[in-house]
Amino acid sequence: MIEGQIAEAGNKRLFLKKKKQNFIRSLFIFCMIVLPLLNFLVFYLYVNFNSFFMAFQMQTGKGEMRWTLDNFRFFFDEFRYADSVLPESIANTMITFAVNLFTALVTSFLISYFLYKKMRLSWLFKILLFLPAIISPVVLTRLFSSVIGVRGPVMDILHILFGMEIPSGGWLGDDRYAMMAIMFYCVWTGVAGNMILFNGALGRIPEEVIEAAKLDGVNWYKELLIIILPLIWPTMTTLIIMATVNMFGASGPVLLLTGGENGTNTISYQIFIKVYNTKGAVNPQNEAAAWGMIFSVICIPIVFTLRYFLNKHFSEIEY
Amino acid sequence: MRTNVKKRIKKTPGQAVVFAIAFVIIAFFSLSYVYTLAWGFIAGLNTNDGLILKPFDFPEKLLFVNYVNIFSEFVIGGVNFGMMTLNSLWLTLGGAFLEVACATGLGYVTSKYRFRGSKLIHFVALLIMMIPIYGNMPARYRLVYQLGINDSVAYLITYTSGIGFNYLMAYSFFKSVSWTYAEAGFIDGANDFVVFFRIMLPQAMGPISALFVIQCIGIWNDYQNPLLYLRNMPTLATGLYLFGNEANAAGHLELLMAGTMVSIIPILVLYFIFNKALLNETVAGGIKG
Repeated sequence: MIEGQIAEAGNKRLFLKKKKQNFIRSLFIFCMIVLPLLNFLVFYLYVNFNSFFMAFQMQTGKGEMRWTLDNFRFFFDEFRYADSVLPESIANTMITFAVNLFTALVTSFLISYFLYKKMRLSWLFKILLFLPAIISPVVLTRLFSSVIGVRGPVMDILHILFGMEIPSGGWLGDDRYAMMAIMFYCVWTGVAGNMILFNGALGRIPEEVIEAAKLDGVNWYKELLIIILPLIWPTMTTLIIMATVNMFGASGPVLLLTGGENGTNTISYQIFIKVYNTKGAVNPQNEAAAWGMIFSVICIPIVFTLRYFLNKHFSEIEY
Repeated sequence: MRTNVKKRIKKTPGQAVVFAIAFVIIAFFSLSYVYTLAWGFIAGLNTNDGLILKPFDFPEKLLFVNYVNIFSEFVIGGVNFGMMTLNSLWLTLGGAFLEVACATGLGYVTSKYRFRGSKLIHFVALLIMMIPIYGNMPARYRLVYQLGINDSVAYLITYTSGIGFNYLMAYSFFKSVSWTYAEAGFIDGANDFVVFFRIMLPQAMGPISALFVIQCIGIWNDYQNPLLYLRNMPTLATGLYLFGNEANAAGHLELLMAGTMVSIIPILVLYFIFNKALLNETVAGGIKG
């Protein structure tokens, strides 16, 4: 009888202890997810839903909001106007995307490869090449525009070596060269942009694999293309997909270098400026929301098709 | 642990040529950064006229006083350089702390606990990174102003998302840490909070510190968000942009250059202290597709 009561009391204590543990565990999980969850609901879900609705809204002269497709109509009308910035923005965005993709993948990978092969001073190059990634674009653009400016050394060197003309407003102030100068900036600052990720991926490659290839007489470029590239392919595909996700968001620091002047508009710059310059005016913001929606709708299938293609045709190598 | 140190191997002539060309190109890029930064620091010692007429000539007189004057004469909308630095500091430290703390907590519970919705959270966190959304800036702008958190320290709540790159890093790190440590803690009577803060978190301090530094660099350098949401509380990045727009006309290019270079000192110091951690801790193993 007494033993039974003791056992029952023990069970009850265990039950209460377990209940307390479960409560603390639930409380712990709640504490860990509550802020990100609220942030997600408010600053992601609500914002994106609202963005969707904004694209179909327009404020009338009386300040009332009406539902309309005008924002989309205005978008397509833009292609008919000679002075429209939209075609220029799309073209520049695609150029920027291509240049960024090339520098982010090709040059970054090649530089990482040469540093991985322990080139002389590679420890110093690793530190210096990463500098553009940590310095503010505000600072870099200020310095860059001076260095390539009318009285800068780059212009002098090109003039002396190739007889290149010096535009009175500098490259950034000239329609013919401004976008090229921005692309030059993208390459200059992005040349080692993904070096950290490639270094990590290259560092994972087992030395035995490289040694075995060498014993088999594989030369350096075959080693690079046939051994190393497939081994780091998961990193490459991730970077390709991430770059594609940002396809229509690709933009050099247009705001900082030219302010969209001289034929340097991009889509993301236009969206930014519609929000920044209008300081709360409703219709330009709704128009920007419609622009964003159109480009999102174009990009989503591209991203998922690309991902499907990359996953299907390039299998990951386990090592 | 496998070491990455390799011996230099004798190269074939063809390989030597390719490596020499690569060396020249890499050295060119590296030196161009050093040259540009060095010129920036020297430009900050020049006069306004010197910067207009002969910006790349060495200044006749080095005006170190420019680097002092920025604290009194570098003013945007009534906010001086010191206040801009303070704005940058609270935004950077607060934002980076919240972002990394939320990502760490979320990454830990989704990788180590099975609860209703844990897999969904992980799935959504990955999915968000995959979905290209371009036009939500106007809606976000409107929301921030409706909530009244613009031009306020309350703006920091926008940094509590806990997802993205930081989440992935935290998730994959905790996934690789053995749960045995936690179980030992539970047997000793520790609860989940104690296990997390005393046992699991200390093991993650390396990667978390690296993430914190990366986040600090990102927020310190960010100019678009403060331009939109902290219009009356300019940070150094936005202050430099706005001052730059009028410095030429106002005849204060020397202050602009001095301010520009002072603004990167904290980041350079942080980078040179933590560069090994940044290069090794964040991507030990690279990323998987």
